[in-house]
Amino acid sequence: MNVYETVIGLEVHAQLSTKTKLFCGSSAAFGGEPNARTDPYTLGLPGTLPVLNALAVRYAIRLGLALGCDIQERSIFARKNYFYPDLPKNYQISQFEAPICLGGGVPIREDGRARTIPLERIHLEEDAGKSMHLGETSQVDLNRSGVPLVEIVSKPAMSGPAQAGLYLGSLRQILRYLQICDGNMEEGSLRCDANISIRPHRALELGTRVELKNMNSIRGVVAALEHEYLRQAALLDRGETVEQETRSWDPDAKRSVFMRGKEEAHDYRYFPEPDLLPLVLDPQWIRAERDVLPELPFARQERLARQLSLPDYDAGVLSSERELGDYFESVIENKGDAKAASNWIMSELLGQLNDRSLSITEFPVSPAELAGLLSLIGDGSISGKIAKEVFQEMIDSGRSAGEIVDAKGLRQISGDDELLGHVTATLEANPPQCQQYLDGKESVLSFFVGQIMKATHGQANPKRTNELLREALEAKRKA
Amino acid sequence: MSLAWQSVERLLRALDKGEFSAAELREHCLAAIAARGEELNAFNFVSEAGPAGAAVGPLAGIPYASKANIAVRDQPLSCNSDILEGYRSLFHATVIERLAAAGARWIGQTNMDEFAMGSSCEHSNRGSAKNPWDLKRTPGGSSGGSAAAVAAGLLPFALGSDTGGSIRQPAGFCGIVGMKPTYGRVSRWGLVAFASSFDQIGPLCRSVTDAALVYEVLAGSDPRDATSLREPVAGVTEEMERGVKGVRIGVPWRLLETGVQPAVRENFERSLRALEAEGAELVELELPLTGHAIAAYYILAPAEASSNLARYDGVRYGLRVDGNSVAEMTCLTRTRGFGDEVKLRILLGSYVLSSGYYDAYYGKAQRVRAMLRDEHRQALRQCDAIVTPTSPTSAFALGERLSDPLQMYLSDAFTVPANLTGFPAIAIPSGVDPEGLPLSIHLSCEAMAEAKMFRIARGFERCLDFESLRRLRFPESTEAA
Amino acid sequence: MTPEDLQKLESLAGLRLDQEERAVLAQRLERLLEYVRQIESIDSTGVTPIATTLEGLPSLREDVVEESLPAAAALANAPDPHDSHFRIPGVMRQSDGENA
Repeated sequence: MNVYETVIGLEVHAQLSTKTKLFCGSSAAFGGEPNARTDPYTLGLPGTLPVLNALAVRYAIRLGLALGCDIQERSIFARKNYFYPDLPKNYQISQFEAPICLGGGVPIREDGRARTIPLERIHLEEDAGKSMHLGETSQVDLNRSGVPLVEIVSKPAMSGPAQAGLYLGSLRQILRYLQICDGNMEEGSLRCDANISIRPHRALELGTRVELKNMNSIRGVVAALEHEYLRQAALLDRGETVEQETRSWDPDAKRSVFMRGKEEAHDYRYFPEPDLLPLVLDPQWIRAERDVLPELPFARQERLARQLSLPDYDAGVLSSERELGDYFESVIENKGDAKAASNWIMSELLGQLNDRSLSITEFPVSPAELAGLLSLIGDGSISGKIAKEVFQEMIDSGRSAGEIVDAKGLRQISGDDELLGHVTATLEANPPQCQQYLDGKESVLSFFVGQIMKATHGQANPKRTNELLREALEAKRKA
Repeated sequence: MSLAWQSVERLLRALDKGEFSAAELREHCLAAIAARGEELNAFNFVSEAGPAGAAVGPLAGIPYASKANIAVRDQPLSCNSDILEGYRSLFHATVIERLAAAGARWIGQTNMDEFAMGSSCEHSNRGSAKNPWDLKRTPGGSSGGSAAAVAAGLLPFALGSDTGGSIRQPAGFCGIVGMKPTYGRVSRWGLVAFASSFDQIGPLCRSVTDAALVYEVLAGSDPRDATSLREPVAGVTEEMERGVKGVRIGVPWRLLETGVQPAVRENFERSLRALEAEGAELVELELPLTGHAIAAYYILAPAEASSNLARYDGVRYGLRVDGNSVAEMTCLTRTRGFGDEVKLRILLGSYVLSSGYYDAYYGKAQRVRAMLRDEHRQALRQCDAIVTPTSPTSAFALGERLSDPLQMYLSDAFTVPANLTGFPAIAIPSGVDPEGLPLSIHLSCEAMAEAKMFRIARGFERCLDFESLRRLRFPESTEAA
Repeated sequence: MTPEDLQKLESLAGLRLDQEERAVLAQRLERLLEYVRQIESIDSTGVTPIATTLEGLPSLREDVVEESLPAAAALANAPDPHDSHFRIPGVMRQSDGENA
């Protein structure tokens, strides 16, 4: 099989997490009893009119700023006309010649190197309803119809499926960081269509483009593109041509099927929406959104690694979700040990979130409380092992680490007087093992430590216990 | 004499004085409608179940009817089209709510050209309403039913809608007053869209004062209509009796050179002289682009209509003709449910928007519209109102223009410009032709100048004395001394 | 505008005419197109097209939830309501539409 150059462009639709739809006041929430989130406009009843949601506009501005786009002070809504039962008006209000954002790009990290995949444009449009099978018929639910979408169109600038996957991952992460979309591909709040063409190495013209639809996950997008590359390459290898068409991905069969050809492409007859005036943005809005723009994922990752001397990997995990990064930075606010906090969060905390199916925003232990727990470990008041139990208790009871440790008497025993008592008692109780040690078997020390841990319910300071045991045993040797 | 013949103005005074009750007045109207209903075919239906009017308000106790493209909750909203068979609106149009709050009493729905596409009411799915002045003539369209009902003294006022002249032209044919507000002055929420950037709702009445009173209730901003003007509505009745001394009347004489019936021309000139005698000045206008208004309109309006009417597909409401697939069902439903004129305009509209034709037709027409608006703006700096006859002819006979749509469209020559510019316009009766059919004068002023327009219209009305012609034709409209 | 041209236009318009209708409408359409083409003669260089006669800023709404219609009301006018949905003939795959 020959190797071909690949050109990929992605069109991503992201549902904005506003409370209401783009052009009317019905709830934009996911799901619900079918056709119970509708109103005259959503139903496309005669005599209804659209009125634009101001928050959706702000979210679009926020996204455009985050991706370095040219925010268009004046943009125009347009009707995209075609007949389909999930479109109650048989047209969709979208933007065509004058979208709200032009240009910009999505940052990715590929093999450790940063690059930006350029965008064509971003525009606002209303979502369609859902239609589905029912035996010999179909049925339509209009709850989703009218939910605000931003459509993010990349330039055909990705060179392979893996890169496309990185693009999608980064875009999704940024959408979540901006708190304008929850990026859930399984639920459909983030959807992706891909365009791919291939050409012989160094060929001047682009190959024929094929559109791929119906991929429900980032992995699915990558798999679909990989499969399509192979399909197209096989055609070109055999001297055949690639037809311009739209194909639908079947995630179970792991292949794409023909959906429609070029001739069936719609003539959308776009024209400016007469029910809405051109959108002229108040510069105040752009300033306001710029003010609330958060530090974006890669920037945060770099800063955490640099400022706190954390490994890239750690910094990456901590900055993967905005709320997690916020949580971490709160924990170490007052000169906390960044590495200790990072380790704890990456292992214990994320583990707990996973086990309990919680998101970080739902997590009942506040950053301050976690900081409290970590400082008890740090100053030796409790052992790491005990700390894990305390952490569980904190989550279940809502009490602070200090309260729990005191109430249960879990403080590590570090005082020599008390420890010596245990050391003496253990050595006296186990003469054969003392002899083993004196005969040279140093590893029996851990047996003694284990006994003392049992006797103290794990509260003996392991390091000091170890030291005192050695001293006592050496003293015996000399004796 | 039936109370239904009295003006809104008089009725309000009489109700206030307790001369009769609102219920009695409504009975008079219902009786008049029942007596002439079949003959005139002006109504789709009457109903007791309309929105209750407030007890007090600027139109308290006044009965009215609305055109079949204006939503009244729980009532059929058919637009006189088979495709909306069985459909009942789930909400009130804003104008219906405003009229209810003002105390007006809705009593029924009037006949119209299907989806407001027509100039004769003959494209209705229940047949045309008839012109009360001559039952073999059209009342005009598309608000033919409303015009006929008011002209026949069945009720004091009715609502119509105007996209290319559909209030003013029937008003002209039926010898009554019809007014189209500045685009955006009256909310379109609840008006079934025909051409979104042209449509406006307005009153049909038997006097200018009545039209002003109703206009004041209809007008105002509406958060449910993003194209509704936010400026507060200026009252229009205060200045109305000021007279026309010094008012400059602009006349685009060249536009009257072809296609205008001699009787229309003669009446027009006579009306202008009467106004001059009251102190108005005539100004000659050149409006070279305005001759192209119909061409621009019949690109833009059908284009918007083709999109606005796409929603009628049998999926969620209205007529459904079954098919093997949803695509087939949609096509069969629409082909059966729409009449010929609607189909023609949808096809025309789809064509001018389609790939390869957009720039030459739709894009070009949008530029012409901008130029036309400038032309009228300039003209309205040289004069206070642009005045022409309302139609090139008096009411034509039923059936006369059905075989050639273009002939039908040309009767809109003087009304269409105000829809393209968005400026307010009004038609007032000015005389009768040798066959006794009403003739009418059309005025248009600049955007938001309704107060001035009503004042000039009132001035015309006073010096033209059409009332005496009405009383001759309809003796029953004369009150007892 | 030939009857063949008109047939292509029909699918855009969601119509399915019979031969007779098509012949009549094609002729009427051609006559109208001929008439409206007169605007070609107007010199509109440098003129910005307008989609509305309004000038000014658009009205927007705040993101506040308004009560929706109950499903029964939404389906009250439906020709074939079924299980809280609008039922339609034929089998459709979601991916056949534009918005999966």
